[in-house]
Amino acid sequence: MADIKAGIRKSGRLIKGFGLARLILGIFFIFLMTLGFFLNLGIGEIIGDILRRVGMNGILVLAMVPSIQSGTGPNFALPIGIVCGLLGIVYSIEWGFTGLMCLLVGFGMAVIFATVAGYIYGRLLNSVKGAEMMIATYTGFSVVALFCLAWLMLPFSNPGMSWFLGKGLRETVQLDIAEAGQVFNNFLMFKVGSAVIPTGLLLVFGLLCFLVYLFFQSKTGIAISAGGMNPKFAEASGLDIDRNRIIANILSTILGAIGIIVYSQSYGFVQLYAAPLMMAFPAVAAVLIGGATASRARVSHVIIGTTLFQGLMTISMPVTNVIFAGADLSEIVRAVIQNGIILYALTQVKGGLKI
Amino acid sequence: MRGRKITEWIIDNLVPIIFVLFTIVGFSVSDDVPLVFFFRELSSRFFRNIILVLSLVIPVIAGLGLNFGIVIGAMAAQAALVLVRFFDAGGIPGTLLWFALSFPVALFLGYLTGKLFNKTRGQEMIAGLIVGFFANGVYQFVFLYCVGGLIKVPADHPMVKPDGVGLRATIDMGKPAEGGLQYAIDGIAKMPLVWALLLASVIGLVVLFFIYRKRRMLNRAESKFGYYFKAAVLLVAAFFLAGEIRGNTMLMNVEIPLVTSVIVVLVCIMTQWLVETKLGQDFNSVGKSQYISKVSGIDVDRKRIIAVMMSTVLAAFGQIIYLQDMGTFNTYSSHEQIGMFSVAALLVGGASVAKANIGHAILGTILFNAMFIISPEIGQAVFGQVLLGEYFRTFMVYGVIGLALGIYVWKTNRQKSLLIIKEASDSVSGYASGNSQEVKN
Amino acid sequence: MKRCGFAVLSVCFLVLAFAFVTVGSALVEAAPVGKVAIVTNTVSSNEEEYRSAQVAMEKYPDRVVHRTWPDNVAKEQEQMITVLQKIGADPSIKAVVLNQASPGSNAAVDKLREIRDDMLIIYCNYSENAPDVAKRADIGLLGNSMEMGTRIAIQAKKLGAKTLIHYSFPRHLSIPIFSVRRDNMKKKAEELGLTFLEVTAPDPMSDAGVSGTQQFIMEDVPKKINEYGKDTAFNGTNCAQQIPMIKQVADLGGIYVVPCCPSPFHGFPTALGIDASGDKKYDVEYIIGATREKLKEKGVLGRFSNLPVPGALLLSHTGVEYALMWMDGKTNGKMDDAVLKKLMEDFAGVQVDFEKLQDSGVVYDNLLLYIMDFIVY
Repeated sequence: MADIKAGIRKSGRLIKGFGLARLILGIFFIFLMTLGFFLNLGIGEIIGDILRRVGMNGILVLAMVPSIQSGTGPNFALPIGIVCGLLGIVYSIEWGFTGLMCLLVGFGMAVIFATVAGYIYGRLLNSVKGAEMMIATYTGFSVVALFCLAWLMLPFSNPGMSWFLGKGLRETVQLDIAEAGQVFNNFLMFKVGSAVIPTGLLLVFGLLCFLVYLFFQSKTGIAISAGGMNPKFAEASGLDIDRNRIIANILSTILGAIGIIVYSQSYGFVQLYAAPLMMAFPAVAAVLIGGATASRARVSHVIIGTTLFQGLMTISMPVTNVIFAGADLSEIVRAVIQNGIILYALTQVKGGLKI
Repeated sequence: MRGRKITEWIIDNLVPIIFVLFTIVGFSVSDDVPLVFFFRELSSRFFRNIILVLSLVIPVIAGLGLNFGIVIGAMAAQAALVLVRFFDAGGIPGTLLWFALSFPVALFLGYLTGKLFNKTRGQEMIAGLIVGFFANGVYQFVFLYCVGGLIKVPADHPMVKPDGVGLRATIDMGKPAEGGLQYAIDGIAKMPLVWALLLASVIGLVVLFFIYRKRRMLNRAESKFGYYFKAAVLLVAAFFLAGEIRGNTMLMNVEIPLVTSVIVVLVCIMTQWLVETKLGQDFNSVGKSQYISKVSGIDVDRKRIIAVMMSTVLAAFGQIIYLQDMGTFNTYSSHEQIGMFSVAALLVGGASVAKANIGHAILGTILFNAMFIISPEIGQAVFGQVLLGEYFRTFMVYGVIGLALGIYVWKTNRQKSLLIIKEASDSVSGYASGNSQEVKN
Repeated sequence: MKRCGFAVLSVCFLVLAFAFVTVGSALVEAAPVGKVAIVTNTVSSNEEEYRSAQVAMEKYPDRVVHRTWPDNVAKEQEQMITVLQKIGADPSIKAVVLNQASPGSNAAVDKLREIRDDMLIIYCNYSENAPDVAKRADIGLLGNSMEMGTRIAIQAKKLGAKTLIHYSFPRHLSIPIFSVRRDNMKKKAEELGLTFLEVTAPDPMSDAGVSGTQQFIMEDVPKKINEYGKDTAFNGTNCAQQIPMIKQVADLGGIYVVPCCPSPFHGFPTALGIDASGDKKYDVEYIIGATREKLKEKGVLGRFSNLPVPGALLLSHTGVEYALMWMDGKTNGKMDDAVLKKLMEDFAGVQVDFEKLQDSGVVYDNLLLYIMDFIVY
C-alpha cells in the first residue's frame, strides 16, 4: 500500500518535473504520428521533413537561451537579429559570392551587423528592466517595418534580387542565383527509406548547440546565468550585470542572424519585408515547450522543444487534412498550440514590473 | 527651475508632441491636402474608434497595463453580429438586439480573460497580446468549421460559404434603405461638425476653468503651464471655427453622427464618474499597489477581473459602433488590428502603462488617426513613392508603442533608483525610511 | 507675470501653426480635363498591378493619378476608406479604377459614393460577393475563374497529367470565385478520369505568414510527386504559393497549368531566375521566350502552360483607357460592352471569350468575365 502511494507521489513529481504541458504535447505528438502512420501518410518523408525543420529553425530557438539566462526573458526581439542576418546574406549575394562562400561571407557580415545591433539593443534593454518582453516585441516590429523601407531604398545592382519591373529588392530572393540553396542540407545527405536526412544542416545546428553549451560553462556564461537568476546577489558578488546582459544580448542577436541564414539556405529563398515580423513567436513557443521557463533555459530545452514543436506542426497539417477534409484546422491547431504554450509559460513567471 | 519644469513636461508628453509635429510637417510638405477631406476623415475615424480606445482606460487605472485583450471583446460583438444578420434583423431593433447579444458574451469572455491576467500577474500585457492570437484561432475554428460543420446551417444563406461549411469572408450588413445595420446608429441624426466643435470648445473652456479653480482651492501644486496651453488651444480653435461658420466654407458640409456622439459623451461621463465611486477608488488603489490593497481588505483578484470585464464589454460596444459605420464586415479580419491600433492611439494621447484618462483617449484618437490620414501624403512628398509612405506609417505605429512603453519604463526605473538612493542616504544619515513600497529587482 | 508670458507664447505658437496649416492647403482648383485615379496593391502583394499603374501614368502623365491600398489590406479597412476619400476630395478626378478591388473595397466605395455620386468606378479582380459588388461598381472586370476551373482540368489532361492537385485554404475557399472554381475543376477532372486532390495550405495572411505558405508548398510538392508520380499537375489559388510551386515542379519534372493570376510575369520570372532590365521589362514576347529557355534547360518543356496575356496589365490598361473614353464622351453610357471588349482584345492580341457573371441564378449585367486560351511553354 505504502509502495503504491510512494509510486504515485514519485510519478507525480516526475510529471511536475517534466512539465504537464510538455507531457500533454508529447503524447499528442506521438498520437498524431501513429495516426499518420495508420493513415498511410508517408511517415518516412514526414520524419525527414521534421529533421529538416529542426535544423532550419533550431538556431533561431537557440538564440532564446542567452537572453533567457541573462534575465531578459525570451528574446521577442529576434527580428532584430534576423534582419541583420538578412542584410548580411543580401550583401553577400550582391558582391557576387556563390555557393558555400556566399553563406560564409553572409555569416561574417551578419555577425558584424548583429554585434553592433545587439550592443545598441542591449543598452536599450538595460534601461527598461522588468518590461523587456513587451519592449522587445515592439522594438522587433519597428525594426522590421523600418527595414521594409530599407529594402526598397538601399541601392542594389544584382538584377536577380531586384523587383522584376522596378527598383528595390524583391520580396523573396532566390538563393539559386548564387547557388547557395540547400548547401548545408545537401552536404553528406543520405536517405533512410523515404526519409531524407540533411546531415550538413544538422551538423551545423549541432555545432552551434555545442558552442553555446560551452559558452555557458565558461566564466562569462556562468556570470551571465548568475545575473539572470538572482541579480541582487550577483551584483553584490561584484558581477557587472549590465555588461553581462549586453553580452548575452549580442550573442542572442548573432545567433538570430546566423539562424536566419541557415533557415534561408534550407528553404532556398531569402524572405524580406514583412516576413520576419512574427518569427519570434514560434521560436519562443519552441523553447518553452522544451521545458524552459522565462528565466531558465538550457540547450537541451532547445533541442527537445524544437523537435516537439516542429514535429507537431509538420504532422498536424497532413493529418487534419485527412480527418477534417475541407477545413484548414491545422492552421487553427498551430495558432492554438503555439500561443497556448506561451500563455502557459507566462502563468509561471514570477515578478516583473507592474505591467 | 522653470526650464526644468518645461523639460519634464516635454518628456512626459513626448509622444503626443511628436505626433502633433508630424501632422503639421505633413501638411506643410505635401501639396494639396484639402482641409475638408482631412476633417471629414478625421471626424469619421474618431467616432468609429473612440469607444474602443476608451475601453482601455479602466484596465490601466486598475494596474493591468494596456489591455491588448480587447480583441476578445471585438470578437464577441462580431459573434453577436453573425447571429443578428443570420436572422436578417436590421435597423434600430436589430441594433438593440446586437447590443443585447454582445453584452453577455463579452462579459463571460472578459471574465475568462480576467482570470488569465490574475494568473499572469506582472506580465499582463504580453499575455493579452498572446491571448488575442489564441482567441483568434478559436474564433476561426467556430466560424470556419463549427458553423456548418457541426451546427447545421442552410448553405444558400448569403452569409454561408457555397459549400455549406463556414462563413463567407465578407458579409454585407445591409444598407439602411433595406433595413440593414449599416449606419443604424450613425444615421439617426447628423449635425454639422463645425457647430459641434464650437460647442465642444466652449464647454471645454468652461470645464477647464472649473477644474482649475477646484485644483487651486485644494492647493495642489501643479504646473500651470499645462492649463494655459490647453486654454490657449481651445480659444484659438473656437475663433477658427467661428470664422468658418461666418464664412460658410466647405467645412460646413462635414457632418457628425449625433447619436453616436451622445453615446461617446455618455461613456466618457460614466468612466469619469466610475473613477470617483468606491469601485473606481478600489481600482486606483489596486493599480498603485496590489499588496497594500490586499492588506487594506480589498479583494484584489476580484477587482481586477471586474476591470477586465468592463473593458471587454466596452470594447464589444466599441466594435459595434465601428462595424455599423463600416457597413461591411470582414468575418476573419475586422478585429485583428483593434488591439494594436487602440493601444497605440491611447499611448499617443500621452497615456502610459500606469496612467490613463479620457483626455488621453480623445487626444490620442485624434492624433493617431491624423497620422494615418497624413502619412501617405508624406510618403508621396518626401520619398516620391506612395509605397514608402505606407511602410513609414507601419513603422510609426509600432515605433510609437515601443517608444511610449520605453519612456514609461525608463522613467519608472529612474524613479525607483532615485528612491533606493534616497533610502540609502536616509538610513545612512540616521533617518528611518518611511516608505513601505516594495522595490522589485 | 511669468505665467502670462507663457500663455502668450503658446497662443502665438498655435496661431502660427494654424496659419501654416490653412495657408499651406488651399482647395484644389477644378481642372478642365478629367483625370482617372488608379488604385493598386503595394508591390509586396503582386508586383504586376503596381507596375501596371506606373505604365498608365507614363502614358498619360496629366490624366492618371496612382494611389495604393495599405500594405496589409485584410487588416486595414479604415485606411482603404481614407484612400478613396482623398481621391474623392479632388474634383478633377472623375473615375476610379481599382486593381485589385480587394476585400474592403465595397465599404470604401460606399463612403466614396456618399461624397461623389458622379464618378465612374471600375473594379478589377474583385473577390467580394457578386451581389454586393454589383451594387457598388459601375463595371466589374474579372478573370473567369469559374470557367478556368473547368479549363484547368482539361488542360492538365492535355499536358499529360494523371492527377490534379489543388492548393487552397479556408479564407480563399470562403470566397465564391475560388470555391466555384474548385467545384468546376473537381467535376471536370473526375469526368476526364483524373485523380483530383484538394490540399489545404497555410494562409499567408495568418500567423504562419508568407514563409509558412511557401515552406509548405516546398515540402508538399515533392511528397505528392513521390506519391503520384511525375504526371501530376499542380495549381493553387494564392499568389504566395506560385513561386515555390513553379520552382519545385520544374525541378522535379511535374506539370503546372496556370498561376492563380494568369500572366507570364506571375511567378515564373522569380522562380526560374529570369532577369530582365531596361526596355525588356514589359516585353511579353521576351519573357515567354526566356521562360521557355529556362524550362528547356530543366527538361520540362511542354509540361507548363499559362495565359499569354498579363492579367493585371490588361485590366489596368482597359480600365484606364475606358475611363478616359467615358470622360471624353466616347462611350455609350457607363457600361459599354462593345468598347470594353474591343479594348481588351486589342491589348491582348488574341481572342478573348467574354461572359456575364452569374451568382445563385442571377445574371449581373455590369460584371464582365474574360478568359483566353492557354499557351504551352
